[in-house]
Amino acid sequence: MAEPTQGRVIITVDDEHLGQIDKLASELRSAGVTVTNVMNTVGIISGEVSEEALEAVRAVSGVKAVEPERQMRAL
Amino acid sequence: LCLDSALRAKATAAGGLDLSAYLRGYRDGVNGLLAAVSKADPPAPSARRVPEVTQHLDDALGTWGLHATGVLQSPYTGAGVRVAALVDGLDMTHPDWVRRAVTVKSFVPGEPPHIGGISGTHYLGTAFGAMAPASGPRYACAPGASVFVAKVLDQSGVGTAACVLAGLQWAMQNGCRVILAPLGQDQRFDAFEILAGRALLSNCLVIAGSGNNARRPTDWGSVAYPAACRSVLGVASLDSSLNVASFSPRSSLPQPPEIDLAAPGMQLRSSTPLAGHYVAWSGSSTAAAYVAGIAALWAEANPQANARQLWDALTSHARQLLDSPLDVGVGLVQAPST
Repeated sequence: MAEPTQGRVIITVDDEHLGQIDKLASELRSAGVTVTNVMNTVGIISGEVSEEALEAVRAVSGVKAVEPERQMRAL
Repeated sequence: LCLDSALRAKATAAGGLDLSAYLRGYRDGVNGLLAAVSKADPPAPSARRVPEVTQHLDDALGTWGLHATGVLQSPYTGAGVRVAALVDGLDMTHPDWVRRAVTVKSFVPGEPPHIGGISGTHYLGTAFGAMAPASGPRYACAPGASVFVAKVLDQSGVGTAACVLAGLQWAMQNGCRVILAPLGQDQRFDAFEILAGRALLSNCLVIAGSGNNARRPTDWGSVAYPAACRSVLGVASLDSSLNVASFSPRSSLPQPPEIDLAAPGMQLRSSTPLAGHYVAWSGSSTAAAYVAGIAALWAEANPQANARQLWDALTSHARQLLDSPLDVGVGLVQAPST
């Protein structure tokens, strides 16, 4: 069986959970996220997750948005 | 010739109309239509002041952009104000940057801070470069600012949102009051909106160019993200006659405005790592760099002002323009005069 496709994501933490971002990061790991960076000051977690696990990640309390990683360019 | 005979046939069919009168009417109609779609569309409120029509020029004192924004008359230089830029790097060996104390950090995996800087050196020059360049007239808005450079794009000018957001966080942690984000992409991006809102609350004003994808007067383009975010100050580009640049996109909605302000964005000289050390460029990030540099002047003039007050100072002192607010926001950014 093929490995599930892993996609890079940007996870935004809601205002209420900004102070508990490390706890949230470990809950996200349990939900299937490979965390690459926890940005405490701004409340962003970047990482990788399979499409199958996305719904569970979105349901974690404190997650405001899960968006696909994207390319940015000099304008 | 084909067109002429077709029109002649049409004129004859219309009942023996005088051909030259027909063509004159046709010409006037097309010119009127062109003027209507390329200028005041939607119609500007009748109370709008019509500014004097002048073309600003480069001279021995400075670039046309510095003249148009009042920077050369301003007593401020951004002295003591911490500012940041999220770019592809900065050429620290450039004669105008080599003696400058600048903090640089790379967020790009595998690329050290001194690699890249083709676009970053130009934007940083416009916003925060030298008071007296090694050669030529002044081109920088805020030469006194204390500069932090987050290298978030690789040497080809491309990066990931994760790197950009990490660079933005670093700028906030360093107490930067003004953050120039001369980058973007086309899709809506909630993380950036939320983060820019948090930056405003932490006294960091994020400024971005609206993009270059319009082809006026046939295509109005769309405003790039993050400029389109409500909490990011989005900047349109002007030419030296203070008309909106042909590549500058239009806001899709009047409220909340995607474009907040306008600034010089055509044919502006600044520092470059390329041969010759200076080059004139056009683009929305140059316009954003003007607003970032002038924001540093307002920040020096108002040391206690928070980010929202800085935003209000920039927008409330803007000079009204002829183009629609959908194109230029509240108008042309102006430096503090006292």
